[in-house]
Amino acid sequence: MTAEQKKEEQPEFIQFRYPREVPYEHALGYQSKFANALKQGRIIATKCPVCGRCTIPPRIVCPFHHVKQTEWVDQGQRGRLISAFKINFPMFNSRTGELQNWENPIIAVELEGGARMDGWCAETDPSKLKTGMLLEAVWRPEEERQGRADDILHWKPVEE
Amino acid sequence: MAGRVGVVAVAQTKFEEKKATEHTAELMYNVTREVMGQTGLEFKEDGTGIDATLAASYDLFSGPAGAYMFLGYVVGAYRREDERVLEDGSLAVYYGAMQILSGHVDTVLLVSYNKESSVGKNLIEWVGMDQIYQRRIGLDFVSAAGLQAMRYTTKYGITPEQCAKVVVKSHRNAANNPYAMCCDNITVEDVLRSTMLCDPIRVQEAKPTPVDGACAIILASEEKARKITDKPVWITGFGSCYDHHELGYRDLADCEALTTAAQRAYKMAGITNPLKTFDLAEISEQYAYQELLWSEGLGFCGKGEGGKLIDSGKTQMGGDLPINPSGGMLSGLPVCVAGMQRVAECVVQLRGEAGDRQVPGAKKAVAHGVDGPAGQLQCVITLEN
Repeated sequence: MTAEQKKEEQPEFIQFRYPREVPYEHALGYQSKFANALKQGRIIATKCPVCGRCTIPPRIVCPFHHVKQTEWVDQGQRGRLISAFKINFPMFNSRTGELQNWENPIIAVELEGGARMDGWCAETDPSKLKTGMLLEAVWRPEEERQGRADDILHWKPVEE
Repeated sequence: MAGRVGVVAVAQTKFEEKKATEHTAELMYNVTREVMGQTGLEFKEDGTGIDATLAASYDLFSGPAGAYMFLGYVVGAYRREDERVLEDGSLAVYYGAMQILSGHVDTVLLVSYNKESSVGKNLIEWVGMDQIYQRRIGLDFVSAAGLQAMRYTTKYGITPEQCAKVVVKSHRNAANNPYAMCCDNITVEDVLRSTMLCDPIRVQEAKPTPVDGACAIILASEEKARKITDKPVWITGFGSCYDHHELGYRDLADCEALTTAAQRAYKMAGITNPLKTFDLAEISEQYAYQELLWSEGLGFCGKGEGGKLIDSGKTQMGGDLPINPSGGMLSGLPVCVAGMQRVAECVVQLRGEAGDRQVPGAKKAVAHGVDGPAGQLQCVITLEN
């Protein structure tokens, strides 16, 4: 086989780049209440009128009972660690759109009000994270808050 | 076939340009609870409620691919059987009916939703084109429609006035429909004076964009349907057909896929003369010329006779076969929701509950949905009371 024939048999790939922004406008609707609370440094959750379960992100219906959730409950500033893991590969930063390494473990927290939410932990050493440990929300400065989940900069362990 | 499939409830939102204060989940929730309220059905595991859910939506309009994964719970897709249709909502009705006919479930809740206002529709439809060839030359669904309109009107001598008459009819019919977005006394001259969008399609001859809204339907097996409502509407036939994506592989002046889909549905329903059989048709015309072309595919007239059909007045309210008493897509419907809403409109008519847009004594109707560039995917559903 000649070098030319060999070249023709090589699989060929095409790569397209469409460098443009795709602006989405998502109406928050009933979720506006949650976003506004975050801007004020508060965490609130929707509550099912049947089972009393609180949900974050706020949901229009309780998935268990398919009942409209109109009650909002303050969840406090503290919660207990449910689970944690550290990402060992680059992931997107939603604020910059860039790939980055994440020093802070991603965690799931059960809040004082009963709802569960995700976030980052201030403690970067995973060996120091224990299920059930008490954590407290650390917020971005008020002027940086956008009413989004990452308005909470991270959760820091609290000594008991 | 294991008995018939009945439509036991339908609901739709008002269709508006931009529902700025409502989350997509709110549109879904409102129509879901409305059909559940009409039937008294709840989500139950004991076979006495809704057995399965089926949603039709385009995730790219809702945000990320897979957006339904965090919206499905709103329609009850939580720890129960759920199916997705990433195509026109008429296909959801088709699949829902198939689920029931299979004997696997007795009741299916169908929901279709779209907020076109979330993102540019042209961009999404451009992404829908083959990425190696068609996207490279900028083809999207509007330009595909332009090619089809030019080919169709040229081949058969369809006049701009005949296309404009479709818009006039649509907007006037929509005036009787409280859910419709565009209703006015637009004239043929107004349509022909409007800006050229994509030669020969003028702005007024295209479906308004964006439009936000949702629709829901509950289907039930014959036995269940009779228990749930005293006014069931029966699905008597359905057919769908996929054409080739490449526009050059088809003669765009004809719509063979629709002809095939219609023939399948008519065969199932035992229909040989659709123009005489049906009391009304609710079809998906995103552009004015499409009502004429789809009328040919649906067998309401011969090939190339769509222009003569609108001239005859047969498709007006009061004519032999009113097409789109609701105003149709030209009066403002979101893509994807349109096909399911066409079925819902037929059901409202066959229940005699269409108010000012009611076709008196309607017994049989045909609904039509479409997807893809220049009508690539066609779906036809026949119904009777």
